[in-house]
Amino acid sequence: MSDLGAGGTVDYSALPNYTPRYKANAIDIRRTVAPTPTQIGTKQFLADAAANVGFSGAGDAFGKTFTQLNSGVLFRVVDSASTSFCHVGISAAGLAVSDCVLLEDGDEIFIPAEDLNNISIFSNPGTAGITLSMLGE
Amino acid sequence: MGDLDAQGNVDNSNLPAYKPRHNANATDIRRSVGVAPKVFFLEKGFESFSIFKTIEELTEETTCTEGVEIVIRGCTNGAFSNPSTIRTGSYFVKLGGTTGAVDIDNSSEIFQITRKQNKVGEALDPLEEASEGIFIPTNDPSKVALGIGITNAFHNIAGSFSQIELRIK
Repeated sequence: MSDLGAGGTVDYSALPNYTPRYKANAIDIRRTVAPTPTQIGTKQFLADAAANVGFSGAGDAFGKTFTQLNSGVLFRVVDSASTSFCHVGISAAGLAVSDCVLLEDGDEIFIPAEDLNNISIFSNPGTAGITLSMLGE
Repeated sequence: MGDLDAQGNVDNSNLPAYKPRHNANATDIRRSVGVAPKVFFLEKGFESFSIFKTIEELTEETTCTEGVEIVIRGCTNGAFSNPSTIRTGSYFVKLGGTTGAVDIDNSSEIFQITRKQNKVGEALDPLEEASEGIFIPTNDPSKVALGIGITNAFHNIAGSFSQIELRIK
């Protein structure tokens, strides 16, 4: 609460310092429609297709030329043999399976990212393959 | 924070320029009751389509304020309905208002809603759930299309009886 100064003027000196609210003038997302997804696709990762074995950028794997994301992408395993799985990780030099999340039958994961190719998918040899659907914005 | 000038008056000149908050007078959704979605059930018949139809075509709703939720229920047809965790066919979402034949290949611009395909003997949902859904944020139901898979690269079959619930808000 502010006080009145000796001259009758408002004295704010007792108030704590503050800064304008971050992005105070930005559109309030609580009152706007969320962005419609811009990235969508379904991909079968077949273990017997040599080109699909190993790490691939998600954008490349799904055949996307436009790979930008604003918030992230959802991957859903929509089909897989019971013993099939794949690994999903954040693209980086030296990325190894041990750095990744394992997705198998029935799994789903949302990964915040700015580009599809910032996410790498490892299709594992020796399995019957796995099919992912992805939806991102 | 404003300062006091030499005369003791409040000087706000060092504050950044601002304008009133966008939609400041709009109803604050935190304090109001949410709008109930319009719910549509698509029963038998839809599954005979092997084409994409927009949500607008399926519901005759032309606008929405938040988006569309598509929920695929368990099967109601004899052999497929027991156990109830078997879902009907594979349903696909396409964006941008594209309609036409369901054409599935590895580079398709589609999202498969159901987590397991409706393949005889293998249609059990891995999570043992009878329904599966996806929410698509949009303000235009004509930009979201729904189609059922036919026999295709993903080994889906058509012809089972489905219950599709569309919630539009």
